[in-house]
Amino acid sequence: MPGKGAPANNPIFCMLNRILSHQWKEATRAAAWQNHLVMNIIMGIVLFFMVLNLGVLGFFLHKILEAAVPGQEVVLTFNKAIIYYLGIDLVLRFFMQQVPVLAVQPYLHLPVKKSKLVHFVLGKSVLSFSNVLPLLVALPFAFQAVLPAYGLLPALAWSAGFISLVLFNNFLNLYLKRQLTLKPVVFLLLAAGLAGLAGLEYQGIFRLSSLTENSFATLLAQPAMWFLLPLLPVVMYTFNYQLLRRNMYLSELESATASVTNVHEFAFLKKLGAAGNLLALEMKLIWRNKRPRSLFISSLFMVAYGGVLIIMKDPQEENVPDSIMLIFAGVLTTGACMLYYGQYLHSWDANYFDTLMTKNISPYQYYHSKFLLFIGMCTIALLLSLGLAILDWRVLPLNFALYLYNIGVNAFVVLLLGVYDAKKIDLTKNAAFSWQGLGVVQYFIMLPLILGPVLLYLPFYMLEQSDLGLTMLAALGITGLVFHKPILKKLAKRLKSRKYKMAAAFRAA
Amino acid sequence: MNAHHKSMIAVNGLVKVYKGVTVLNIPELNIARGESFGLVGNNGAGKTTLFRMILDLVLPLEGEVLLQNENVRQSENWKQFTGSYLDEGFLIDYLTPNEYFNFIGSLHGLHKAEVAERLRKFSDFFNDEILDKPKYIRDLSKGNQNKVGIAAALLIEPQLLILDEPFANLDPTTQIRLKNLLRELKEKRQLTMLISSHDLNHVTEVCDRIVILNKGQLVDDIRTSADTLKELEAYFAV
Repeated sequence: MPGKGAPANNPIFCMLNRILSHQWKEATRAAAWQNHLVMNIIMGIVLFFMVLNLGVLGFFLHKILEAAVPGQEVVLTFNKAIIYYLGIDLVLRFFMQQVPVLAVQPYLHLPVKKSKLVHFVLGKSVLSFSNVLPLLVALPFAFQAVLPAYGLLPALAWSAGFISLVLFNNFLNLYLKRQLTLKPVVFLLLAAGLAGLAGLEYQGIFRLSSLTENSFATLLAQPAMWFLLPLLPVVMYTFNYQLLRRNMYLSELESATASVTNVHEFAFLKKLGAAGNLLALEMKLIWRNKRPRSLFISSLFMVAYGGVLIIMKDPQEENVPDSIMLIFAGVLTTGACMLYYGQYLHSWDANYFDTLMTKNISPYQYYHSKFLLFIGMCTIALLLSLGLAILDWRVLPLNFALYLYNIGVNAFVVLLLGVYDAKKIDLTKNAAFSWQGLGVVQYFIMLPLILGPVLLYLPFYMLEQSDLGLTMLAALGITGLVFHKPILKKLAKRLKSRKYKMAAAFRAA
Repeated sequence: MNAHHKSMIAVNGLVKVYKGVTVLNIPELNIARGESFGLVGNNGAGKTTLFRMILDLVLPLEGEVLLQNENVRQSENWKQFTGSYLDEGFLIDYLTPNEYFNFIGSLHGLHKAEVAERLRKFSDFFNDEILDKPKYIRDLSKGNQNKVGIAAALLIEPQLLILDEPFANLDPTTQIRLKNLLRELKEKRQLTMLISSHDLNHVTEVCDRIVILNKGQLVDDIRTSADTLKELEAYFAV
């Protein structure tokens, strides 16, 4: 057992160092990284400008707030806004932040304490960019506004409080995501609880905002209370720790006692021939593997997104589809499932890509099955979105037009972009530890899918012909559906020339 | 028998280069229908690469592969008469073996009952460890996964069978059963076989013709006889 050595050659420290270097190698030696070098450079530049912009924003935020809310002290304005920031931050994190990954299995048989591995996985998440970015705004603000008005100690206490809440959000998000894979019911309860809090805030029944406002006011008045807010992330960290520690062996245990879930063999799918068989296969893929299943479930939540935008709209405004934002929301409402799942179009099949290429399946049949799957996903989302009509019936034409656009245009774009993503996704292993997921790069891929219809609609909107704009989007979709055969054939040809590269990348991983 | 004269596999001027190194260079190779063809060679000799090029999984730099006189890159017809199993990438790991067999069968228009009928022939080979077990393929041992892959390749009653290291990971009893099965298929159905193996014993017992591959080149092409095993051992004993 490693004892307490000198810090320089402390074995635990060395071990962590080793694991970190393994992780770095894993990232930089991955086929996906090396194939997307240009993409990575662009990402780097974008990130650099983001950092620069946020820093500048933080530096001048007090002037902006002064102009925006005159007659109120800027620090108080900021304090009031904190809770709303945290709410938006949590939603963004849920869809964008990657859960840190460590394949623990290779380390379990080595003399490394399991608790250390868990601490490592959790500690790594603190280094995420999503934790640094808010501080780029808040800390210059603390320096520019809080420090001159209240003095050094209150400014430090205020900063500590803000950092604590950012970390709290970080760990809360990890907890939510892990519960989503481990116990969807717990996740649903937590998500409903948070949505309930947001609802109470919105209705003005219970104001969480006054709670944070007051606690930051207290911090400024009594900097000695600085240690109270950091308790929040500590508690959340402990929850995460317990969850991971308990589930470390989960994947191994599960396979040992695996019970086979029977999926109903839909008779009508058999009638569709090879494409139907592939579709039935893909449904088993989603149902039996944690990663695609949780992605599928969480993307269904996007249907609610359209509803949120409708609630937030100005009640005075008459014509709902007259807003570009709603086109954006409409694409996601009926298409999120397809877009999220389709980002990893071939990655899901990575384990058995060779099978699909050598058994009696033509590339056309393969794509045809994917196309049918997308239609199915969009249709499910459309049916769910009918519930939104209770809030405002005018979303019906919007959703239906974008449903047609999604299956008639976007479905093909997803297939078109899919061949360039050759990243192998491990469907099963270390389910509790890895949730390779919605990273920022994937959002770049999604841009044309979401911006496309918005740009097509924009001229009609500016000419105040928004109904015609919607009709045009729907007509494009119908055209795509009518000509799906030749389009799929063209796409299949491209798959035929790209498949060698893809197969090699899938095999290498 | 006319079938013997027909070409099953024709390889013409096949070249593959990885990062400046020529890993495969086969000017000409013809395998007739009904021939059982063994490929031996050390690691890195290019066996799997050749198999993958025959199955259109790896793009050759130059040259072409014809299966029954049709270029594999231009036609999909070969998929109907070719059964293959190279590695676990040919399995769908979240299915049970039964579901996998049914899936492969359905691609060839076979109903469940026909699949079950055909699988009966493999009951010895499976040794009661594969069928009707509530287990996904990913939870099977390597050897049993191997059995599933080989059986799925044979299930479609192919005219051409391609197996990479089929004897690896199998227990001794199953190795013998597999050899008997392959010999039986060769005699009864005129099956063309393409098998690679590190085990010189197995390959000489199953194949009529053996080719030695070394660093991507064909070094020797032998009709199997009583002395073949000794010849091969002499070649590899360095």
